[in-house]
Amino acid sequence: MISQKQNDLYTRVGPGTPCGTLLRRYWQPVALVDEFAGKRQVKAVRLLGENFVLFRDAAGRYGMLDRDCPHRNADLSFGRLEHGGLRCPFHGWLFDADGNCLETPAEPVGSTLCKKVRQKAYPTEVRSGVVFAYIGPGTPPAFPELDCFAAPDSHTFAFKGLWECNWLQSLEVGMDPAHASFLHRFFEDEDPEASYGKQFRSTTFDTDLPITRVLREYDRPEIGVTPVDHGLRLTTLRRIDEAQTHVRVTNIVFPQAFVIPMSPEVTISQWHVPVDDHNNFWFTIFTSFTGPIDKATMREQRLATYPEPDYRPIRNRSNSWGYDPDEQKAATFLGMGFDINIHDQWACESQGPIQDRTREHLGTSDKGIIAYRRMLSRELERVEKGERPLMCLTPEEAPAMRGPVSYDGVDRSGDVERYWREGDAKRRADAPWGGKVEA
Amino acid sequence: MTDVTFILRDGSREVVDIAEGMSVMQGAILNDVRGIDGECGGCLSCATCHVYVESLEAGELPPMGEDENGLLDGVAAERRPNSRLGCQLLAAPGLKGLVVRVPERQV
Repeated sequence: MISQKQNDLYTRVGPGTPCGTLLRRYWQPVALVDEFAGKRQVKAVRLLGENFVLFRDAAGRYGMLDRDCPHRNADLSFGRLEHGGLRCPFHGWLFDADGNCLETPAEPVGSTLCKKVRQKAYPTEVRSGVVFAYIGPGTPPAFPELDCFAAPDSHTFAFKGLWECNWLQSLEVGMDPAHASFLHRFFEDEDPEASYGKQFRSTTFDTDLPITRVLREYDRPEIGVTPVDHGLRLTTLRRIDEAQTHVRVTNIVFPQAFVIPMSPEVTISQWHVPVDDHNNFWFTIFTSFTGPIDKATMREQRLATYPEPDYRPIRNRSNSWGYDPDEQKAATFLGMGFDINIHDQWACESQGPIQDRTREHLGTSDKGIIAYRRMLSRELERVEKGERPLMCLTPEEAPAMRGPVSYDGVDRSGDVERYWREGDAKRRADAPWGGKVEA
Repeated sequence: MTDVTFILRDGSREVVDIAEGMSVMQGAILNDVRGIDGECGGCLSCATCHVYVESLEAGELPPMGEDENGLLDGVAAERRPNSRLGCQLLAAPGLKGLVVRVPERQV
């Protein structure tokens, strides 16, 4: 439970707000490279309550500019991509990826107007199929060398989707390990062989138990939360019997991402990026530690529920997320199908556009959420004092920011930490791209 | 409505008018009194609304329950004879002149 003032402090991210100022100190995912594979190479981007246009020019360079044309403020996302830049359809002004004005064709011959006009442009970087942009002050921070950035293109796959609610409640579901035993409960286990590309559906390391069964039958996990260099590590233990403990190691990468296991082979790194105070995009990079990822299958599976071009889910508030009371009785705990992404979407969107945290009651299983809010408070204070916040990395610091370990398996040794550390180290040693252990 | 006085860590005093039936913790959170966390929202799972009851002019505080007593053993600051959890102190008619001190730390 927090005050309204504190809730506003954490959730409001527009220009000039404390949290908006914090989040502007980091590279933010703004688009998928796959979005530029079609015939239209210009996208409207809305990030942290501000409007931008993102385009790829003829030379393959990405440019992200303020969206309103500096002439008379028409929307450049409807622009013409030609002559080395983006041309406003209103009066033909042309801008390159750096925001330089190249032509103002309605002006008299010899006009130097275009030399005096500049559209604000923002740095962009492509990493693992995602276009990142930096809209904050000064020099952008260095990228950490996390697994999802270190793995080659063949071993990663990126996707995104819109959730119609505030970014923080969406991130908070990623630091709440207890919900998986309820929200994602299936009454029957599926054949793990048919589970490619799906979370919580396969078996896990060192056991034949389907993960669906572990979650269903062992619903009071012991949760450990440890502050680490990248944010928080959560260790969730489910004691199966005297000899066996299911362990799941997940992470918060400050300020806005979580890194969790999807299956023994693949991890999920997921950012929750505010569109504005009431909407956020999740951007996920799937990273394989074994073979290349079957991107076509992964993309097809996800486009079925998050269609192009908006990536807005077909199940949403307007159709009660496809809720089926018969299914809820017979097959799933929630009654909204077998896609766990939809379950999380419902949980977050049903809390309202911004969760009213003056009305919540947290339990001991919410300790990850409590630890994160403390961390967020501390970093907000740092930024207010003009200091550099956590994970706003220098080029010297970035190479040490590796991993992080995210692991799911069943320990029989009784030394759970040694078990997951050794399991992770072995998986990295076996990875064809040489994943390095967290520093 | 009951006026409750909080003595903050810097020694300053803040008076909050708390509606009947609402707890000292809720009154503190909703009015942004610094030093009271109340993370669990009053369901007796966190012990981060610890206060020292300094004085009470009239009325009686609710007796301490077993759960509250157990949680007070684990508070971050020193437990003293006048330690209570703010979530268990409800504003009630007749309660007058309640003064509580915020401890040095809650976590």
